[in-house]
Amino acid sequence: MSPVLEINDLEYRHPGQVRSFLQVPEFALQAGERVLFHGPSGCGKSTLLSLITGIRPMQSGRVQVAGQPFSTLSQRRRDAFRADHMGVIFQAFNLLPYLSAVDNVCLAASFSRLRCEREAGRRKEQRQAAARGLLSRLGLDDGPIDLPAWQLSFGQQQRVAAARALFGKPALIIADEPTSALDSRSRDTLLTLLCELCEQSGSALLMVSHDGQVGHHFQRSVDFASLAGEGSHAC
Amino acid sequence: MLAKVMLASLKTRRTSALLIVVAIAMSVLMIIGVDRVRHQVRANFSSTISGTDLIVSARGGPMNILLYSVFRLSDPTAGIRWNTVEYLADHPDVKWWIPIALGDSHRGYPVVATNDSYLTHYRYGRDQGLSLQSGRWFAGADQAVLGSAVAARLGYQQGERIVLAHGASGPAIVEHDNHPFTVVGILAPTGTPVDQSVHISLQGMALIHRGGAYLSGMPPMPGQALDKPDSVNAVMLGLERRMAVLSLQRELSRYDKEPLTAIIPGVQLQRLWRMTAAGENALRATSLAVLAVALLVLVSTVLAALEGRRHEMAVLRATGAGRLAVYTVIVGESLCLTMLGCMLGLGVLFAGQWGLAPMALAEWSLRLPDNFLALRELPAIGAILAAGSLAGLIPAEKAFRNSLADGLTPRN
Repeated sequence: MSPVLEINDLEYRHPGQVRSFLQVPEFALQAGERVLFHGPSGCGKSTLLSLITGIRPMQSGRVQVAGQPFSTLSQRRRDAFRADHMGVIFQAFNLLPYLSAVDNVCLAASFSRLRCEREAGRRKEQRQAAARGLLSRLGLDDGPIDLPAWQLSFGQQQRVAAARALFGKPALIIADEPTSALDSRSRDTLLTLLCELCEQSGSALLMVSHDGQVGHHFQRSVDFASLAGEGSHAC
Repeated sequence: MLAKVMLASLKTRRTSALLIVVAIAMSVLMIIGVDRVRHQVRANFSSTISGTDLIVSARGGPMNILLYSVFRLSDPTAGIRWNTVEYLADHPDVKWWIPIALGDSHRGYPVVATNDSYLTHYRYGRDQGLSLQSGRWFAGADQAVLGSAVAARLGYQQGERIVLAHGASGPAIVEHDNHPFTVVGILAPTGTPVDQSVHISLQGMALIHRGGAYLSGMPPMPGQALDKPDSVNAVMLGLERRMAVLSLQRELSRYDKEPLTAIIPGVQLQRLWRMTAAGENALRATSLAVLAVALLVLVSTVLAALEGRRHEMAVLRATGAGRLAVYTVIVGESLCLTMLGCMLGLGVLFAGQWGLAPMALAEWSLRLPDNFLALRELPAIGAILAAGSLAGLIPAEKAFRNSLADGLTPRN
């Protein structure tokens, strides 16, 4: 089975800079695998995630997602591909504050017919029911999930974000320090739930964090500095 | 879903959104309002006189003849003799005729001496005739009928006694105060110079110019022909066949008893309107400038709001929104605001013209339009909507580029 994510000879430099900011000679993530990148802030973890998700255009190298040469697609196809195959969780501000939790989760389905059909039918009620089911599995009950997202607590917002990323069982979940603003108990609760649901839906999880302590939730924990080969700038 | 995102997002920024809507409404109000006034002035102008085929006067400039006989603006030149008027009246091509004698005024309003055919044959607008708002048409030498604006401005009622002054306008130097007139009727508003005129009979005009004394020293007997002044300033003619207009015009220019000029009022009205086109263009330029400012406000407000929406865009991009979705959200928003602005502007304009119509007709002799939207305004509205949504394109492209530069986590 081909890896869900494969990176070769990736190099990125900021506009106007001579030295490369980020180098990843080789990396692979198997289907359903959970991997943590850890390393200090400012060494390019978020930049790498932007490149993997295809939001920031690649400069050189190759990224393959689910067997597709993702990095050579046009911007438009990359956006559609991301909608179909990736779920993204940020450190904070994951939600559109004026939509309810349910609508925030359904947002993922509105850009991807594939994920919509995988999770539920095409009809709006089915989609909403699926979103509610997912939210309740993440421990959010009916009370808060119809409120606008800005009224939820921070921990609740991160769970809604996780539900959105998982909606429609994408092949790859990308998480950018989703727990860094949580206390250690809520952090572990969220990660446990996230890992559990990833396992259920068969999604691979790639998470970056400056916090190496969360490594026990993952099958593999990679030091970001060792990922970058020789010649990369010191973090 | 995108529509829901757009509307919900807009709702959280409702104050600034409202300001944009008001700014656009104001410019729609200006543009359509100015255009309507312009159109209406033109319509009023060209409907000042209708149905009259020729205006005959002593030889002179055609524009001057139009100005004094129809608009009562310029001073009449020489008169035409009464036997020429009789010749015209008996001409086989002539269906009806209205004599017009000018030269007096009442408190700045011109006095028109004429006869009964003025009431029966004068036409304006789309073949509309004159009618009396109250009272009756004059029947004697000392009776006057007021235009509606004269009555309204001076506060005259039936029965009011008025004194006419010699001279077309300005302060009265010589007053015909030994021959006062009694107001016997008031005409209904027309939106034409008729509203601004005081109408008396030709006998009345003849009398006051002879010092108010009857020629014979006695009031005229019924049927006695005192309806024959020496001269009148112009005669309006309605012809049996319109085809005869040009030939009669040519014939009258060769009339051998005295030099005459006959003008076709419609042709001269067109020429006069063309002379005022500069002012019209200035109005149009002003309203375009207003629109440009409103659209700039729209673009700059959407751009300014964008800084606060970087997270929103990042979330949308991360969940899979492409260029099309980002454009839909932002251009859709500006289109929405522009549409609301247009509706609000048209609504206010409609309410305004509905509320102001009676006053405009009474005070300025201007008929206001009574429609919500005219067919000929659709291009302007379409242009505003198109410009409004195009204004959203710049911020939309910027939002998309921001998201590329920001990657997953936007800078604050």
